[in-house]
Amino acid sequence: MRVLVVDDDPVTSEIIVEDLRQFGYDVVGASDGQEAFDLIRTGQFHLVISDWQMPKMSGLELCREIRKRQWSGYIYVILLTSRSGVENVVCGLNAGADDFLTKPFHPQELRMRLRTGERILALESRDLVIFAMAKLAEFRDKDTGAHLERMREYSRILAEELSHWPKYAHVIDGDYVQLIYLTSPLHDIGKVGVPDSVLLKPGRLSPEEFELMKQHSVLGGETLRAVAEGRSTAQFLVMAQDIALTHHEHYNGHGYPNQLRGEQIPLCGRIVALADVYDALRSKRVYKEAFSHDTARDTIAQESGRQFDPDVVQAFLNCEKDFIAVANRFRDSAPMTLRDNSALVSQVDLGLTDNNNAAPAHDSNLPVGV
Amino acid sequence: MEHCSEEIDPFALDLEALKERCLGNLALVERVLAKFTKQLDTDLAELERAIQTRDATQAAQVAHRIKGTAGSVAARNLYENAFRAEQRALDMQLAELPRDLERMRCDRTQLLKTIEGMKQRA
Repeated sequence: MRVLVVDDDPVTSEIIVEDLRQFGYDVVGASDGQEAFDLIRTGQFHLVISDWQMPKMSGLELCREIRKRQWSGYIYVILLTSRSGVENVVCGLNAGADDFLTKPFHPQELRMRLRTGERILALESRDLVIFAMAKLAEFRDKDTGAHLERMREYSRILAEELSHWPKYAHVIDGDYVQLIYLTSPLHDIGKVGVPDSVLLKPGRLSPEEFELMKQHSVLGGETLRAVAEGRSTAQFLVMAQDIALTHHEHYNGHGYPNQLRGEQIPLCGRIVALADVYDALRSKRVYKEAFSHDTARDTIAQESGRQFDPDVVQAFLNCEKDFIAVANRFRDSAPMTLRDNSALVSQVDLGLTDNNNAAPAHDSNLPVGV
Repeated sequence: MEHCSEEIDPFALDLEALKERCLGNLALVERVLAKFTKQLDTDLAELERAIQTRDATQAAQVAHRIKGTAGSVAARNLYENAFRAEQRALDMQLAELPRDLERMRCDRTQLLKTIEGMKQRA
């Protein structure tokens, strides 16, 4: 387990770092709170031992900054300080520290406290639960195969690419990338609320049935919002909520459910929208063969500024090789069948539906003409 | 001026406690003591400047720093004197600080003697 040790005193820092290495930990040191916070933003550290009084950002301020935002996983913080007394302990724990150790420390006590932190972090099997939930939601949609596995990889690739752009440097960091990887599989979780008669209907959907199907994004968003509300440990679900609700919105405002446009759509929703469509284009359906990467790319590029955010499209174009590699790695063995009714929703997005006659089936997000 | 004893004070450095804190790693003990004594010179000079300019806040910060490091290396006398200096600075009792500084200088001298004695015995 990786540990971040934060102390402006190089002597104390060296003792702690060397002791922890001797205990088998992978340890990195930082000499002030700001440096520590920048390291934590990479998403690599979930165990932090910090001194209290430091230049630039104190240990207390570091705790508060950590607790202010959502992370891909819980960050366990031990404050190590020569301050003592009930008041200081309360102050430290109130700022969000999980444990409080007074200097001079005993290394074995520090080790035991770290082990406590590790046990608490191990309780967090959230990523497995999230993926299990997403898989369960897909279960009624037969033969979606490795769609979720591919989706999260595509989403991660796009987020990583954008993180290198100056425009997104303050928005996307290592932790954001891990979060989108974790939560993008939940994009269609609202499908559990779509009746079987609609979800599993082999034929064309009526306009009313399409309206029902469209509700899966609202249902997914509302469900995740209700779960996340008031639960600080579930703040990661805020991104999941945004993705579920907005991954069918179009950049030009012609999507659903709320006709959001441009940057009204959360960035995570814009990213997952492209990932979802790419996967649909590359997947075999009952009415079409799987498109080649080149065809999928050209289709997506044509929709830049219309269905998709131009920045996200450019990011995709910059990472074509990575997308191809993921598609190959997670290739579905079984062809899609009639039961893959996500294919039948697409007429809503195409704007081809009139009230009387449902148009030919497409995937829910595929652009016009596909 | 504070009179520094010629005898090595056993509480200048609790070597066994330091070895325990460094998990028996003698190379680490040696490194941290070298780093500490070098840093201490800088800190004592900074404390002196703070006292001369009657900057109680700065004096408290430096004393706190010395106290923390002294505690980590088990330099007990220095820890106590730095603690006292920090409290006086926080209470704005600046008149006593020069004496505290002299005591800490004695502690430094004692520390160096102890370290030298260690090296000779090794």
